[in-house]
Amino acid sequence: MYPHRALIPFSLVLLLPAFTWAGHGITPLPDRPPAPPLELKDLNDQRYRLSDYHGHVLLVNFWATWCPPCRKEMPSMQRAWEVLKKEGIQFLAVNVGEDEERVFSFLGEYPVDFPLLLDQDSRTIERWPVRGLPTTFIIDPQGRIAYRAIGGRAWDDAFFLDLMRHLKKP
Amino acid sequence: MIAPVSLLARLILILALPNLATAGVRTDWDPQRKVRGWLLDQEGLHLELRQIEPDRVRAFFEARGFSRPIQDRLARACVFQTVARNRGDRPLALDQHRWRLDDGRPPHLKEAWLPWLKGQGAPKAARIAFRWATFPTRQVFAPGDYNWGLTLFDRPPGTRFALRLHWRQGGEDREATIRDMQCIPIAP
Repeated sequence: MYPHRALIPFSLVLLLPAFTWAGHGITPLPDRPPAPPLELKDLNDQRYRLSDYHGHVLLVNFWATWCPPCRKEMPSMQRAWEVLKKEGIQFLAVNVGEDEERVFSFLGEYPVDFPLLLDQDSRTIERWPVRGLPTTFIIDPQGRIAYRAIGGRAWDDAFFLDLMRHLKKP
Repeated sequence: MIAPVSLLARLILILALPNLATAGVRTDWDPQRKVRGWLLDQEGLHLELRQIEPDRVRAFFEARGFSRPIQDRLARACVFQTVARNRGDRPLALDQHRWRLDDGRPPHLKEAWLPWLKGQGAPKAARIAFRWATFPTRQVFAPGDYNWGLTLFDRPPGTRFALRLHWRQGGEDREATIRDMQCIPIAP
């Protein structure tokens, strides 16, 4: 009756570029603007505030389950997290516009153990300089945006690991 | 007085101008999905526009929580997957408000769709997904930046059109025209 429903499991392909551009570069923000506020809860109702991360290098990733490059980069983010958490570098991934159930199901397919925060009404992303998903920011220990990456990346690449480590240095 | 050779050169230039405007355009064809794509490489801008089949559009928006009538409306809205990348060495600014089809109007942009979707009773979560799944109306791309999303031209299925693009590269205006584009036809 609804032939398109057979396509629902594949509908993400609609948004997938014909050849995947996993970007390699990252854009430095020379003026390092202060990161906008962020205060959100995770799936366990635990509240996270950006101000709690002052003094740490922090990766903030905006994503959604329906966004193919977001899904693609998530395992590499987990691998990067496994290396960097021991060095005091923190990760937060902010899901945009979806509910706990959908994000919980996503975790079944893509197990990650850094905090996944819910921006269900999209108020937080509206305050950040985001134009597309995924967008990732690297925040320096002073709470300023040091780098921005639009589109998916292989976050466990040595280039990104070293870049975040380098930001730790005074 | 203009020398005949100079006149001939001018004539050749005038005749060649439309082709120069589309010199950086390639097309491709996906035989499995039966969709066509148009790819532009010019003045630092790499842009891809690919047709999306109506059933795939319906499936995507159904999974986001849109009602059947809205899915059907969007499926007929001449939807193109859009990817842009700045391959130049200066900032590149895209503004879809300044794109023009040959009927003189721009694509039907998200700023117009979103109030309509709200008026149709679409759930907020679905509207948030629509907002972020559609190509940014305005964006400045640093060298190497790329972005992607949906552009809904909202012309009838099968419509052929030329798309006049405008962007700014390092503060200078650039234009190009992609000719003979087509909204994906829908079988009656």
